[in-house]
Amino acid sequence: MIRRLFTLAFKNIFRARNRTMITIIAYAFGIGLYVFINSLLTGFYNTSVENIINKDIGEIKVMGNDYNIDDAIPLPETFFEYTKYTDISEQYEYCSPDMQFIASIITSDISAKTVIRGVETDKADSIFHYSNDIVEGVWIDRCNDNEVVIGGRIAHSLNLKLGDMFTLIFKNRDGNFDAFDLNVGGIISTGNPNIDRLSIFMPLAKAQEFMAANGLISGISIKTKKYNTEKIKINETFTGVSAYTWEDLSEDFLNLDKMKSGFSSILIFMIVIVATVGIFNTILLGMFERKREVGMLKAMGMSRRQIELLFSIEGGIIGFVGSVAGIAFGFLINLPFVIKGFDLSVYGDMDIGYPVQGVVKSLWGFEFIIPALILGVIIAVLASYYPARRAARLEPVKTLRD
Amino acid sequence: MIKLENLKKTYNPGKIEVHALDNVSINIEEGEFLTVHGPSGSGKTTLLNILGCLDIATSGDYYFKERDVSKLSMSDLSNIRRINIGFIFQTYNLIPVLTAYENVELSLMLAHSKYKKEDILNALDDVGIKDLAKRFPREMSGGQQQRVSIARALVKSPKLILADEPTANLDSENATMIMEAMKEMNEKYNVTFIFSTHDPLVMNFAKRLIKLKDGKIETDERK
Repeated sequence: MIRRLFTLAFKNIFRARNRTMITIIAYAFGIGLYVFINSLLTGFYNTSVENIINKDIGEIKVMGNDYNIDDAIPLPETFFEYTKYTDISEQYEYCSPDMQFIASIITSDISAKTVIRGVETDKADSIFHYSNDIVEGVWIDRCNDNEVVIGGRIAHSLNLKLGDMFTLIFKNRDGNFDAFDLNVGGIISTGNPNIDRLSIFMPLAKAQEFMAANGLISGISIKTKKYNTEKIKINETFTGVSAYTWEDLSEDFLNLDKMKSGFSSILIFMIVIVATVGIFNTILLGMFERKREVGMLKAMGMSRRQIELLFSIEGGIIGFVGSVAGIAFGFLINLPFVIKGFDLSVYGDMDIGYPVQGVVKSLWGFEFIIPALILGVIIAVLASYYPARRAARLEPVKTLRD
Repeated sequence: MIKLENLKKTYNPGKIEVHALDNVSINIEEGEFLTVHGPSGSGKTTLLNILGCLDIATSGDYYFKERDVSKLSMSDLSNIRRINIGFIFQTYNLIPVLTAYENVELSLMLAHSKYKKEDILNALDDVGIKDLAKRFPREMSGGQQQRVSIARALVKSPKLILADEPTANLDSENATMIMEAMKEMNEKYNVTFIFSTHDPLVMNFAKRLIKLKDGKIETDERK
């Protein structure tokens, strides 16, 4: 019987072909946007996470005990002695100490805020592969004594070219202002705006010397898969330092991602609601047009439940076809963003909240196929509920007389 | 098979009451071929609706196969219709998106969970349209469509077939053929046929004529 109801429902929905097609198209549009937006946002999210882990923080960052998690850059007072924690370096294969501090960069006519990143050249490169991101010049291991590597976006905004000189002004750990003239030895472009828009790389020893903080570091980046358990282990083993996961240090980004996902869900929900009204309308009109037929089916002994089921199946089929078409549509509009990516450079240095820049690629979003199908069919069946219920309550005596 | 006792059907009870049926009592035996006729508003359709378990009486008793169905729920009445009662309408009421075969099959499917393809083809063959099994209603004449509706009513081997003005939309030649087909089925399968009609042709075929007037039985004649 169910098979026959499906056959009948399938034939019924194509009786008003144009109406059904318009409904399916509207539904497909809503579902397509659901797939596309989620795929794109997932692409942004994954790229952001990759940028955070692979270019900035690592999976764990060990900071001085006094470090305030709200500070993007650790204050000099929180620096700690690296020699006390060399065991950490020995425990983890991918581990890189650094010293970060804020400075001002001044060229002949412009100044800007910058973050100095003093790193051990080999260790930093083994974790973050910065040498692969050098677009001009060389990584700091091959720079001259007064040369540093500068982020591509900051170099661009300050009009700094390879070999150009600039002045760095900062307050050292003793509270005294210092200034040094440096040259651009390399320009780096990682795709992480924290690096590309803000950072200047130099050897750790030079940064320590600048800050009058010999032997001190601001943090140790670690790459390890089981970062949550390793964080606990470090915190239990070592005193004077605290370990944070990349998630702990990226709370703002993670909250923003949740908020954006929420907003997009609301937008998609509204689109799906509009499409759902289309299904409701299609099934309701179908019910009005086929009142006599429903009366006949009831006269033949079809139960209320079966009539309800028939109309719900009709809605479900529209939902299913619309969802399948929507998934295909979503994948189609997603295609150029997967292959070529979404070019953020057209927005300049505008902060979109995600630690991404340049071209960000969308994902295929295969994980949204099943939710889109389930969501599409369930919403359509729910939208058909009222017309189906009305159809089931039609009295054959009245409808057969109409 | 059917026994009506003091059946009343009143519309708008408590307000301006219209007595569609007023103390109607009838006995109908299995295998009868009878017509209910009378002027418009005499209560023919109301009587057929109640006999067909599509409607319930305001008062009185209706026994179908010795079971009092006047107090049953709509769901139970639906079950009785599904298995025991076939309907034939003036406007055929075929499902337009289903072929002749599928229209007949749907009726059989609702009545019995198990059936054979031959049952459907035999029903179509009985009314002489086996070769039209794959046609949709729109591809058939009025007479052919009415034959499909007869096959649809007959296929589930019901005890009772109710036909509401079955010849009203047919020319006399087709009407005669339809009536002959139904007469044959009545004799072959001993199915009870009750017609509501104005058509003298239908009345000519009937073995029993019940005339209604103002909701009451005016005459009940057997030929």
